[in-house]
Amino acid sequence: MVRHSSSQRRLRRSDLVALLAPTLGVEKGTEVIGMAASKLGYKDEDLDRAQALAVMDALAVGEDLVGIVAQFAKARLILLL
Amino acid sequence: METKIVTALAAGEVDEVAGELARRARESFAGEPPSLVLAFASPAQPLGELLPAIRARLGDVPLIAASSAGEFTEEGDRRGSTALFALTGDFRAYAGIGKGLRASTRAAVASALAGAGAPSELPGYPYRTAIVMLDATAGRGEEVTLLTAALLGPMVRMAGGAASGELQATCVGCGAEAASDAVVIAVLFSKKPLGVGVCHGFAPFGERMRVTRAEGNVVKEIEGLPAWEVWKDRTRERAAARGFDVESLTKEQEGTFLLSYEMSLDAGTELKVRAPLSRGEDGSLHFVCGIPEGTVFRIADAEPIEAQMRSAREAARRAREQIYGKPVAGALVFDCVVRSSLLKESFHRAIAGIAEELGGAPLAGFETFGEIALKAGDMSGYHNTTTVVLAFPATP
Repeated sequence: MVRHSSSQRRLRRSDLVALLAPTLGVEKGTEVIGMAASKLGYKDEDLDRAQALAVMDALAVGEDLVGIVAQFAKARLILLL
Repeated sequence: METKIVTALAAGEVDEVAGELARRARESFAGEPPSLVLAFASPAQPLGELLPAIRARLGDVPLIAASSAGEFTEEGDRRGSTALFALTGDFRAYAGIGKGLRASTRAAVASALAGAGAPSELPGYPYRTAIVMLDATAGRGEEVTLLTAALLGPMVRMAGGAASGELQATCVGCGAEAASDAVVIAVLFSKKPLGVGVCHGFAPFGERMRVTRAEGNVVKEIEGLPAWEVWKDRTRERAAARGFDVESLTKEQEGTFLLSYEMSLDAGTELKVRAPLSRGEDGSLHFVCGIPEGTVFRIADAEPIEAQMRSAREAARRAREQIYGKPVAGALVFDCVVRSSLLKESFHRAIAGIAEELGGAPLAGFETFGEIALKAGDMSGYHNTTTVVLAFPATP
């Protein structure tokens, strides 16, 4: 899942979707990751560590299912990165 | 210290049932207090009365419980009874209850864990397992599971189920206390890992659809139409083949109908199934956890009977695989209530299949409105239409 160049780990948006899909489904996971990335101005498919965490942070704001899943996914992401 | 598990099934008045279950536990453990006790009680033995009666006989042992639509042990299945699972051996258990799930899931989970008072680690007991039971009608199943996992940490395995029985009276209990809209959590420390296995036997059919209006666990519209009308329309033919006339369902039939045709999400490498538990007067459908607007799904139906049998055994096999195939002292089983309605008289064969897969070990469980299974690395822990098996290795 995590590919890294010599200096910095990078993920694809699809890697973030894979963290949310088990709970939200692939389509909804893709939708929310895409919206969050777009709001943050990220145009590329590839994200660096800071960008990936920022996308999760943008989603992890509420106590609804999306918010809770994103909080959980972010904690797992930190362990992975 | 050898791990011993006692299971028992008893029916009748509360005092009679509590007496019988406690007697079986005391006899089998030769006076040694259990490390943890679980009870799954039908509406005939209301938890609010049953738990104090059990405590009066077994003492101040960690005890959690759930209301149940059907109870079973390795000896058979029944309705109108209480099933008991009692564990003794080299374990340390801590249990707590958290209330107000609907209003604040996070606070309820935190309260249950605070009430349990489990340490984050215990020297000599490197493995922690959380057994979680909750009131599914609060509609916060997945949320509870993930919040519990987040608070306990990534290495804690989880298993459990949602209380079942009469929809308006589902409840869980801890110690002498029972409550609806609540969650109970037992944190169990052990010297060896316990095994968690989960498997379902449902498959999607028909076209993909999108939830267009929803609030929390209430789906109001699908593709712009009232959710209930869409559900009836898309299942009409299949339901008719099973004897349901979707236009003239009684209230009782509605529950069975909804559990027979559930929402399924493409979750990447697997299918995630979400159960609708009831419908609102406004044509909405109430699910076991949040269903965000924009969720894309297909309706899922049960695979043939033999597939249900296979999936029960597969859950047991997966649990055993997690304890490296070692002999099993016993197991807890959380089995979705829809499976017994599908299997009918063959349900006992499915339970027997689980027991056989576990080498004939004692088991106890109940028919649930949702199941919990989460291992390290899992990103979702709340399931529907599944069998969940929590296997205890024979050697501590």
